[in-house]
Amino acid sequence: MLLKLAFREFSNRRKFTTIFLLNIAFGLCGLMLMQHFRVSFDQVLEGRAKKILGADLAITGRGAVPNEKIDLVRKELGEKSEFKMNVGMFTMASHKKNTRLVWFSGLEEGFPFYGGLELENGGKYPQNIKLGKNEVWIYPELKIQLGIEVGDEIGIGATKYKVADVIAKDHGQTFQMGAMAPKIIVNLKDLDSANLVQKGSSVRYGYYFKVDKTKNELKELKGKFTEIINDNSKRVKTPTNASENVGRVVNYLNDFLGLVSLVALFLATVGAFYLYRSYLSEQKYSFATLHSLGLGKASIFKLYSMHLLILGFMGSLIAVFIVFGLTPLILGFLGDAVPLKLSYLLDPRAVILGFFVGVGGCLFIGIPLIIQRVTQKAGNPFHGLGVENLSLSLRDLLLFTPWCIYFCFLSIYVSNSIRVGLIFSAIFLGISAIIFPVFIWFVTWVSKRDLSFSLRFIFRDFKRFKTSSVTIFLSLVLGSLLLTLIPNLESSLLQEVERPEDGKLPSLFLFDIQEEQVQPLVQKLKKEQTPLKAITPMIRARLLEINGKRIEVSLERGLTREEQRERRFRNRGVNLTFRNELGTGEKIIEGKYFSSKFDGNGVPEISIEKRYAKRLGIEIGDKLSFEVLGMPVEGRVTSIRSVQWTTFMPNFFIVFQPGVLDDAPKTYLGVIGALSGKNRDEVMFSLYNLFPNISSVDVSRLIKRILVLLNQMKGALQGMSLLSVLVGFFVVSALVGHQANARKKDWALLKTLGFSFADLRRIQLYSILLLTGGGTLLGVLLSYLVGYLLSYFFFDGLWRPPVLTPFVTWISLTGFGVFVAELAVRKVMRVKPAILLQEAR
Amino acid sequence: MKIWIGILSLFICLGSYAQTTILFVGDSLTEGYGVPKEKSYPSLVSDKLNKKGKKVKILNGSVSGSTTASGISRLRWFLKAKPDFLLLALGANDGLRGIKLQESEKNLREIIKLAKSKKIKVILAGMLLPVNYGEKYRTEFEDMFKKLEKELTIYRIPFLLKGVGGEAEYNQNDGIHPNEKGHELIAETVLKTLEPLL
Repeated sequence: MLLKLAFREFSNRRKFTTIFLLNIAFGLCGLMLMQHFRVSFDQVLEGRAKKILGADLAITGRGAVPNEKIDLVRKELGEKSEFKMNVGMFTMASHKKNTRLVWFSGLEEGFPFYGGLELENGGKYPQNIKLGKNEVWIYPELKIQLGIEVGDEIGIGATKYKVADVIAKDHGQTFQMGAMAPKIIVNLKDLDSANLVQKGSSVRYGYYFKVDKTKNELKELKGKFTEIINDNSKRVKTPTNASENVGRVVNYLNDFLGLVSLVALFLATVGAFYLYRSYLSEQKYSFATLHSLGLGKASIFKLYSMHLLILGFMGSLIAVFIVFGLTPLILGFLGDAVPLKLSYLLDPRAVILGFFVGVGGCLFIGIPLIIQRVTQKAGNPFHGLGVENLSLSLRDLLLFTPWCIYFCFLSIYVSNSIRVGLIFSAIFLGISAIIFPVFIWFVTWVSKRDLSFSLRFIFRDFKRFKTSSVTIFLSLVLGSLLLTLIPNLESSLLQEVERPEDGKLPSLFLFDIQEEQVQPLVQKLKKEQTPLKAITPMIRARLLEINGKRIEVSLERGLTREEQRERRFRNRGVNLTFRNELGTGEKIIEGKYFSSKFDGNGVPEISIEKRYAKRLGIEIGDKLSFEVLGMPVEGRVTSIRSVQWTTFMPNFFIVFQPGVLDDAPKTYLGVIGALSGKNRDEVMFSLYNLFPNISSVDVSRLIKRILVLLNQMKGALQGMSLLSVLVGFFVVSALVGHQANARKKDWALLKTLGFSFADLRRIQLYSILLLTGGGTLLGVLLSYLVGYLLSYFFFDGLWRPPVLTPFVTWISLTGFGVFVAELAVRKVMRVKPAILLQEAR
Repeated sequence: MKIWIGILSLFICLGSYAQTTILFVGDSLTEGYGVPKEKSYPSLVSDKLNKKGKKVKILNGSVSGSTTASGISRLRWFLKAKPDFLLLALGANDGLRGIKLQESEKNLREIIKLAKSKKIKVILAGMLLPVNYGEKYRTEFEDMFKKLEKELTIYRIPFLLKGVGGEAEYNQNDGIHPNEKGHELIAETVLKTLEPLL
């Protein structure tokens, strides 16, 4: 019978059922889509990282790893795993009279397992083409540098190899090995004929494995194999990202997507809490009726719990259907904006999560409300229209403890990070815990003041219905906070992945330019109309002391690899530069940048890059002591700079005020702007002939690849933000609309008492402005504070809040509330009070 | 006679208190990349000589990643300090980067000539390239140092990294830069050539 009654509730309360189900469904849709998107994006990134590494796991380093150790690793990985080797080294390649440094790489047939090479003649290695006996493939720049063509012979060590093709795209190129010298690829079997691998050779060995293991299993294996290999010169690698900076942005994105998922979860919860609470409030007649018909409190509790369970299940089911239908549509819509090949199949984990949150969330949040309602003193429910005698005791608050715990766990799972989940939950639970008592105190205090009739009426109304007023107010604060939080963070992160136009990107870095070469180099490049974007002095120094305290430390034995790296970082010399202006993409975040030349009085000024400052614990006002080629130089930190690395311009950790290091021996670092492929090779070749000591490093291929990734991240950020805003708008609009409508019965009563349309209108306008306008404004303002806090915790303080978007959101939501309330008031004025009072029940 | 003995004693005393300034111009190996300054081989050479009662002052004008091209400007910078010896340890990066050897040789020659013109005794630290750079290039590279020694009548350390290069025990994890133990060995190698000249 209870089940029957529970189902009857759906037809009895069609309007509530529809809004509640849609709220749950939309909230869950957002959550599931974001989870799905996140998993897909992770897979895409992982695939890309695998292409760079060429395998699932690799052991690389200078010198060979003993066979017995490799056998141990292979045994551990099992029979199903595949294994290939790769051997590489710098050597001199020659053709006719030309000789150039190259990276000579011998690949075992079938390697790499992922990615590979694309050749100019259309072949794809290892998919559809193989190297013949003593054949090589070369990087395109070697054609100009050595004057060589396909079919010619190239001398490497003791052998002459035949150039079989030219590499058009190398998926495995990294900055470390691919940029210093062009690559030549040979079959591993034919590498020995060059006779270069002997005692005294400096050769890098790579042992690559293809295994069917999860990311976490690989992480564990990495640690295990590091112990097996037990050689500090070898590294066990799993697919990671191309550079530290890209890795950092990927971490930002992961945290951001985690936050977006949390926002969807919170929005669904806030909506569900408010709607269900309002529903129960309106159900007091039903409670009393059921009770007077002889139904015990336990049975009423069971009935409403059952109803809630069905609601949660149905909401989740609708969400799954919508998401199944929407995924292809959304991905199709985002097709160009998100340059990622995302899976159209919904991740099963997202579906399970949807049901878990939909059903579990409803029960955890609804059951305390049902208990509150069932256990309250009945009184006369038919007396006092809309009067709420629901109190807020400690017991009531304790009832929500299981929900808080459930919510924290869920936040950690959804954000995939204990830190993100807990900080986010703490911020929101903290805000709720503050707003609740403050609102009640404020309303009580204001209602005692000398106010106009309308305002006094409204505040007394708020006081009378304090629990429902604070609930709607809090829901609106949190809803609008969540809605504007994502655009708030998005604009900060977008600037991190923002890139200059193609024409402004560098293509060549020039190292080791001597002082006397600067003028001739500048003139030559100018004459050839080659864009020289920057030429910066570079002075080598040692940082000896910070505020008189030595920073160099001894590399004692027995230190871990990480400790050794950290100590070497401190012992490493530093490159200094000097300039009056900030460089491209630089911004002062603390202190003041120097604007004049050092006049010889006092201590010279220094500007420090923020991450470097953080790593060494340097602050404004600190005195740093350097040794510049035997000469002691001191400086005081007067500014800390942030550097936007996506400009891809070389930057310095430490910049001195001009007038201090000008006479010190120095070299210059040059940057050449965008050049076409052929033009770039020609410039490199002519520079090599004219200035043999200047090393030109082609950074264009690497930058291009990073830019593709950045574009994908940008798309992901924007796509996810859009989704969260859509979900947020729906949920908050539902709250605003419901709230504006909810007071119909009060207006009906006022109309019966003789209030005019103008009076009613004024009261409803004030009421909406105070609750909706005030709540959403507070939410918008809090979104700045929360945005700042989250940026501080997760995004290295990258906080550049948008000015317009949050306020447009606030005005839209308040306007929407006023509009809905206006319609409601008009309806009230048109209908007879008796009918209205009947409807309001 | 007594007067002459007295004057000679005075000269010997003065001589024993005169300080010898040794300038090191090199790359990361001589800069002491990755080890504290006092553990780099130029500092160790100074410590060892001073312990033996020889008054020496070390100037280290070495820069990581530098090639022979920048040597001349660094020497000019240190000329004000009037060094007595120049230990020239450049050329490794030229070789590793595949720079034309004629160019490296020309740069080294200029540095040595400038030093000699200022009456600075020059010790050229010889370098070897790894086998993988190919026999021809390696031999030409090694010969470059021998040729300069002969041509300019200077002192030469046959191989600065003797016993250190390629030995994991004496190098940092990167396999290129000597660790503290490696710097100890290099200091001994340098002293074998330098000490008899003081």
